[in-house]
Amino acid sequence: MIGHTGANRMGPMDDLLDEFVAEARDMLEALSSEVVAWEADPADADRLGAIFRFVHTIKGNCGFFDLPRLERLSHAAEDLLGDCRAGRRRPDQALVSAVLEVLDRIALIVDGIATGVECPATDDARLIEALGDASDTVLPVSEDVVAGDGDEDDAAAVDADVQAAPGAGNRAIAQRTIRLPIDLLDRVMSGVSEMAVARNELARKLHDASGDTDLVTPFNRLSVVLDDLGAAIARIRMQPIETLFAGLPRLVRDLSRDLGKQAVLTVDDGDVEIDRELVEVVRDPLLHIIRNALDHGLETPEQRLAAGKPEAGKLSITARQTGSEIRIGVVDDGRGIDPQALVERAIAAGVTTAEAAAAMTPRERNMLVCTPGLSTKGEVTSISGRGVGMDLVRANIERLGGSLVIDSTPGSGTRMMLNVPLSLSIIPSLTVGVGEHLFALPRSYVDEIVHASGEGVRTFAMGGRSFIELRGEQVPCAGLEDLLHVTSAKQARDRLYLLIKLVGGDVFGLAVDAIHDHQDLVIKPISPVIMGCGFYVGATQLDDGRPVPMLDVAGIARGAGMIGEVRHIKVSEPAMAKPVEEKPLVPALMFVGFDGHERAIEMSAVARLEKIDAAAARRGRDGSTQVVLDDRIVPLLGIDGDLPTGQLRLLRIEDGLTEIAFAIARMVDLIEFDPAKVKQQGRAGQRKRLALVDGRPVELLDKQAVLAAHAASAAEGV
Amino acid sequence: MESNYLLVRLGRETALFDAGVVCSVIELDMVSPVPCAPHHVVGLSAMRSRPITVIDCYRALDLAQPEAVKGSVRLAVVVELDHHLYALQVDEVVDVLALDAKPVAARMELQRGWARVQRGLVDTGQGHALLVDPVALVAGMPAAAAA
Repeated sequence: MIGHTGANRMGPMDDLLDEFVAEARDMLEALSSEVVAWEADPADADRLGAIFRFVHTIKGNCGFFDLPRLERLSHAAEDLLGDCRAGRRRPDQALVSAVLEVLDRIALIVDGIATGVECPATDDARLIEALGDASDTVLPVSEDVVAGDGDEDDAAAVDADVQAAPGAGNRAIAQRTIRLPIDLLDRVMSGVSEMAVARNELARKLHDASGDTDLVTPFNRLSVVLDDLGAAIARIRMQPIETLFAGLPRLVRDLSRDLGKQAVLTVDDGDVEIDRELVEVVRDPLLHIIRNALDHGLETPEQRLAAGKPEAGKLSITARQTGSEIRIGVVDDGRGIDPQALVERAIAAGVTTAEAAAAMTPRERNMLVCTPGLSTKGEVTSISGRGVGMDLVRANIERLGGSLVIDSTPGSGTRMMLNVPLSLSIIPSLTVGVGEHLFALPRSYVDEIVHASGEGVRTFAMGGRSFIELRGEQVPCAGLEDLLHVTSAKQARDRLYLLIKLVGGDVFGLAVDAIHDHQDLVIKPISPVIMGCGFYVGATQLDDGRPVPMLDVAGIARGAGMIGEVRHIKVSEPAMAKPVEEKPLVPALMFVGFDGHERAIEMSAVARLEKIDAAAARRGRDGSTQVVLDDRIVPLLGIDGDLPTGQLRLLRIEDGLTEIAFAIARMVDLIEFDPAKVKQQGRAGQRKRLALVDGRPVELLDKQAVLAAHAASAAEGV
Repeated sequence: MESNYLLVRLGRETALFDAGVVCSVIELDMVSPVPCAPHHVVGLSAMRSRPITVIDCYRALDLAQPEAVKGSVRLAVVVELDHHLYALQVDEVVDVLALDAKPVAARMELQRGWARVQRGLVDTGQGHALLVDPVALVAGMPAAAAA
């Protein structure tokens, strides 16, 4: 029985309890992807350790707060996980599921403490029993091995373990938080941005009044401090959307298992940051849409095979930031929405008439899905029910001032797009120029930048449209000047093409004259009179005070006629669609290096992927580069030219003796290749391995070769 | 009860703004053009790091721009409407007047542009001037009329 309710809580004890709740929620959130990873590989000791530390912390706090239910649950889970850690029990599917159920129950109870509405205690005992059952199945196997290991020893070992690993555990888990009124933050933020503008003006004046050299040094110091402060303040309200997405692998795993379907989830957060205020509001509609996609969108494995699709459905979730909106796309390659059936039901339900339906655009027609009580699927399921509350999703999104857009191609899939307005936005942006005009553009949309006369690039016109050909693929493109009726100042062959990837996967090329800068810009709303023309979402001010409009990438794409229906997904011949899973494919990470070349590296060779501040890297006089990682100096490879500024992505490669960091320009994708088809190329000493990825050869970065090359050059240096 | 008005000059005409909506009067420094924006929008400027939409009053009123002032108009009255700032370019800010007079309906045939934005006549003590509604001014001429 939980003695704390919302009404009668007061005093320091309750402050502590609030903190406990906040901490437990943070930990649960951080944990949810760990849990799925653990299930995929129950032998993963790191994951097991993280989960164990969580229940251990919860149990410890429960005694303090007198929360007996939580204590019983966490104690039972701790015992079981402790046994797994000690090697007395082997984690299996049943055990993982039982632990997951306990974690979910803990989350419910914690929510109950927060809201003062107690979570019903009906079957805690069953959960605890399930833990016992799960362990019973494996117990006989391992008991012989470690028989005689006393309970007390075990407890001591566990405690020591927890204390010994404060770094890994506590960093993720015990993050302390405070709450502040938002208008206070806003005041601080606008104060800092005004300071920056005043600073820039002062800089200009200083520059003009040459001679006052003794002012320059203190001014520069002030300037650096202010930049730092500005960057820190800007982040206060924002939170990576990753935190919202962290729970999705778990959700998709649970649901697809319950539904008897197979789903491969890809999540691309586009480095988008979202206002903390909005995270909670967006969560429910997003989860609902995902449930829908799994339940109604994706077919069963048998149906998919019969339709000539791979057995496992694809579900991809992407986030992009436009300047005034965050666009979250949920795309599945399932059966799509049957327009005929949908319209028939809508007419039968008296929602629309045959004439009205005939006049609807495909998108308007798809929105009928959001009518209460309409569903094109015959049966009602426990996952998303009938009519599926899409009406509620839509209402919730619209209440935020956002919108929901549904595109669907029957047989190929559905794309649902949540557009959430931003109350505040600091957006990593590119500033591009056409003629004398400057525009800002959210960097998250830009997949790649290509020079018109670059190697292997060709531009041509076909059927009244312009295209660029790149790596054998034709991408439709448009000049920004044509859309905005301005004049370009560059020859066609000197222009740059931004390859823009829209939410949902459509790619097009946008030609500009120049790219001036990339930086984080504070985007402010612009007046409706400018908004009305459909090409802009906001405005920002560059360091020199120059106001610059921010482009609405979707508006631009629409203006250029680049937004289509969901792209037709290739359906292979049913005969070809026999499952090929028996072939052991090697997972690898495809990336583009600083030399501009695309390469891949086996996942097993990468100890860790990291994003660091480029200031942590240095180049020595001899040309060698190093980077500081975890308070150690590690050799840095992969960069020959100037060191970049801002963020630097690294692959950490180690073999137990040596550790190196390999810098990459960007990550392309997670891929799988067939080791049987890897070809060796080149002479000895410069041997290259090429893997076949999506029908084209990709060079593999060889871990051993990289480590050996480094060792050789290090020896030379000595 | 007295009300405060800002008296401005546009070419040969004077007009009044209700001082309550006026945030400040500024000299426009940097204005970036915004391609594809409506005809009467000159571009974007900024005041204390907030974006301002700069409005050409001549165009908003569908008046011919006098040769002499073309390009040289840099003075603007900044108003805040619905949380957005607008700079209305004028030729001169003449005075701030505290007047007792209430606006009265203008009973004469006015030029189309003025007729759209005026909210009555006010006796300034030195003759009459039209009270201008900044919302109507910012909206610009309706597309059909402007064509």
